[in-house]
Amino acid sequence: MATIDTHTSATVEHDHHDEGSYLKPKGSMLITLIDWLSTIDHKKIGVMYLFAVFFMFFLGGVAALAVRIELLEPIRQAADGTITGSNLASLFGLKDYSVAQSGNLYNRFMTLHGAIMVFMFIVPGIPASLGNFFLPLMIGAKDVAFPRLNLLSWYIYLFGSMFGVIAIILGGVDTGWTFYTPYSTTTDADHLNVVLMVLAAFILGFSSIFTGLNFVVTVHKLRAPGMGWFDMPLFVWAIYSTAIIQVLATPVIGITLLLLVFERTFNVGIFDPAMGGDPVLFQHFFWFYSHPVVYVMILPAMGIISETLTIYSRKKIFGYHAIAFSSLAIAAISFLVWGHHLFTSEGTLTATIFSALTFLVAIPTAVKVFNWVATLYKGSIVLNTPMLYTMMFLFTFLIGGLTGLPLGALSTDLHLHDSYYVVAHFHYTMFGGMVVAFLAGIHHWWPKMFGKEYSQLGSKIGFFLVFIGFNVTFFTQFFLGTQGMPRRYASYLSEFQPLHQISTIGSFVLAMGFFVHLFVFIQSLAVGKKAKPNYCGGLTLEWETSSPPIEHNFHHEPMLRHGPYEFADVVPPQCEPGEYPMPDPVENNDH
Amino acid sequence: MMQHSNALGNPFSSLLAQVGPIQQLIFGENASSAAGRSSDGLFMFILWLSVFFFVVLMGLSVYFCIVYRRRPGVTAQRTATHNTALELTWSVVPLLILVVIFFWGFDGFAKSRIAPGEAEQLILTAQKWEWTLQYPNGVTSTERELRGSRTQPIFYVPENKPIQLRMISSDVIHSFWVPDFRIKRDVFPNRYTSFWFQPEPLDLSDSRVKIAGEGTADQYPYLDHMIMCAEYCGDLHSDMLGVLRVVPESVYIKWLASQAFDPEGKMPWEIGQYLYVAKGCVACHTTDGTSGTGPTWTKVWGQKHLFADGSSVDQVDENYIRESILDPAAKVVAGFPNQMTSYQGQVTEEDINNMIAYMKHLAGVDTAPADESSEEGGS
Ligand code: HEC
Ligand SMILES: [Cu+2]
Repeated sequence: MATIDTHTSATVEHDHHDEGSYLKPKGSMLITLIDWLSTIDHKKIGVMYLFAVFFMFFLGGVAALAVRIELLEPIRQAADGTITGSNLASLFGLKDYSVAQSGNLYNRFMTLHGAIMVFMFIVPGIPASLGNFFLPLMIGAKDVAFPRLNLLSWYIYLFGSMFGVIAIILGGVDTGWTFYTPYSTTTDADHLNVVLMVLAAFILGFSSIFTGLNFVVTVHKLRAPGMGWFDMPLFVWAIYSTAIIQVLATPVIGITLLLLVFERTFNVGIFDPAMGGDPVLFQHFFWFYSHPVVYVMILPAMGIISETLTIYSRKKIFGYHAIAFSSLAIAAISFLVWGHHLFTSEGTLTATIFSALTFLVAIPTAVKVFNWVATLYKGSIVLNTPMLYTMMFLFTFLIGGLTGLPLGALSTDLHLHDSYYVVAHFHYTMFGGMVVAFLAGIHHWWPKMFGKEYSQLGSKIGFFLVFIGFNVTFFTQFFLGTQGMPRRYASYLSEFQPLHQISTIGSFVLAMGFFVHLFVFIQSLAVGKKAKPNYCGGLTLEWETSSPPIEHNFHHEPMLRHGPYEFADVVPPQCEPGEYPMPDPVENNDH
Repeated sequence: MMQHSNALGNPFSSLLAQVGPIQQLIFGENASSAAGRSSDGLFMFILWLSVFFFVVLMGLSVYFCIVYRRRPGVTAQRTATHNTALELTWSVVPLLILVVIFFWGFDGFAKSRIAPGEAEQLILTAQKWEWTLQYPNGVTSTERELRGSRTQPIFYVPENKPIQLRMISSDVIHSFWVPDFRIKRDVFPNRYTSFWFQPEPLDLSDSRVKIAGEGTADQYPYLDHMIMCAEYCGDLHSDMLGVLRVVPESVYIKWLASQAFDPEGKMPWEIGQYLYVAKGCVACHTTDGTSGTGPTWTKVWGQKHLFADGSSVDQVDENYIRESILDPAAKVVAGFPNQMTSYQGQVTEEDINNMIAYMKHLAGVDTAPADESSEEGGS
């Protein structure tokens, strides 16, 4: 690949930087608002998604705290009308709760937390916000392939989310986010509400499909001249693999959820044992979608990590091809492992096959981690907030991955399945994976998106609170699980209380960390220093435009002249050669 | 440290059968079955392996972050960007380890699935939110003890004998989990699943073994294992517990006999009282005036009841109760969820009669021992 400095053009454009910022108001408040709400600019849609998923994360987080508060005491607190239960109940206008219904209240909050976090935050989170914003920029496109579809999917997302939240809160859906039959088809909670919630998930599925479709076509058709498949940044690879899974798997859950609706409204009896149906069939359908979706959640996160890790250590990623192919391998194998959610229900042969397949998916995942660590070797590492989160990702994701092994193995899973061990495990992979990488990505790209720097000190304080809070909250839950605490329990035997209390304390530290971050971001928007166009010395195309990018992304049609991670050979665009000095050209090199 | 049989018949487990403090920290109690010990052994194997990989990888990362931190004038160095030998190694080695874990896990799993032929056959029924165990002589346990927030059924089982449960649910999916055995199995409404275990011989040096009737002539040791429902099943999911009580076989046989209910010469309300527990109504209805999931039975008979749809009955009679049992959704009592499932086919007309008698008795209106349902004034 070319190794000359190619960025003289960037300096020529220097004067135009602020003029065309996509953030520039179009007129009065109202006009600007209308402009935003009717925009087909992928950057604005990305930002709108960002705020929407933040809000959902906040809602889901409040529900999680409610759950943790309830679990401070072994016996339901809502029952004797003390702290949480009754307060929360009256908060939502659910008065007159009898003893039994207070269990119900816990179950609703648990459902609220799970459904919001999965359907409205984790699944759309990274692709819809950061993906929308940076995928076109990184491949040098002016926009996604179908900008109007993009806006439509935002509205569908918004509509589906509001629909879902209202259905759960007002209707009191208490099925958990998994909707297992026959509980979900027979539970009373006023027949319509489960149907509404399921419909909401169905609607959200469309938003996923549209976004996915958009990204697949964009990547195929709109890459900058000179950009071959293996010149794409790994973030783009990750979003691309994710989009493929979304397009292929989401229709399955769509159909499954529709069947559930039919079952409830027309009594079809596909899953109803009383009518010759099979409730386990639902679980197969459900996990056929929901397992690949686990990778929809984690692949974009891995993409972000591949970016931040290289930029902040100024190293070419180790094993680019291995990482890109492992994304695809994970995407492919993920379709074959759904049955490992059913070890305790399935026949012996089925369980055995799925256990073997599950272990297969562990290999590409392990390969990625090895590659990341190897990338750090002999780098020039700066531990700013995005890089701290990147290291935290390695830490938590490694724990999450390794603790998955006893769940994939048959005999140990019989004990750990549906216990707190599973809760801890998937929070380490989902939160420790997706949320932490999301935080790394946001801190990495925030000045690029909004043109403002943020307080390093403040965000580092936030980081330490999140790191400590997260581990205190969830590490304890591994022990709860191995010692016999089932998940989704509103009350429990008193011997589990100390661990539950520690976990709850951790969750509050965690929440504090998020508030610090929120404060830092608000402060940045209000009084942040203006960010430089390429403040971190990145080589991908988004660093060739200004911060924030101009409305049409690039001042001139971008041309790819070097690979995304050639830190040793290229002066980063819009940077002085002295800012990111390059290593001496040494002896033998094999690239 | 507790005793251990090493005859696990598994080359891996015997290697690691020694229970260390860390294993105790993780599991709280030692596994009380051979299958459980095998799975704990595998867990510990995976744990140490994970600790190794974790320490190596995180250690390297932290080390790199310190040694190669950014310093003025010092640049990143050129290194190879891939290395086929290295990459092959770190793909193949994990693969081999995973193969070992897989077969080890399969071994324990297969053992936990295949019950020995001579196992004693019991029938376990799950319903919201109660386990019922039926013994070979047809009796069900009526013994209950307070665990957590309410009383839970106690199921006696003999020590050191294989026992197989044939499990079925009468409503939604539940999951039968005995943490001390390290096994759970889902319970479905449309087909039987099976669960087998062999309680270990009671060992008096085990701190969990307690003595019943201490000091008396028929004192005996026993060991309790908690049962939990592990598949979410609604409001009182977390109260769907139970206790497996392992006792010497002689005690078990005596207990079985004591549990047999002989309706001969019993008042109908006494039979109703027995059915109240045996049919699982106790899971949702109390007889002490407090509300459970359903209304208390002390205030059923003869009272005015309001329904969720705004209608009401002025005085509850036999017909209303019968309908409430066979078609509970027809009239839902105000303030209560429509959670009761129909008992159509599970209770006979005679059972219903007896339960009506029990409700009358609770309301202070007793029926004569004769089978006609003419009422006498409160006696
Ligand atoms: C899953 C919990 C549950 C179980 C188990 C259960 N019930 Fe109920 N039952 C309820 C609820 C909730 C109500 C009130 C709502 C309604 O009327 O359907 C109720 C109402 C009733 C009523 C009407 C009470 C009134 O005050 O009007 C009767 C009679 C009754 N149940 C009998 C039984 C009998 C007999 C059994 C056992 C064979 C039983 N129930 C088992 C939950 C349960
Ligand atoms: Cu249950």
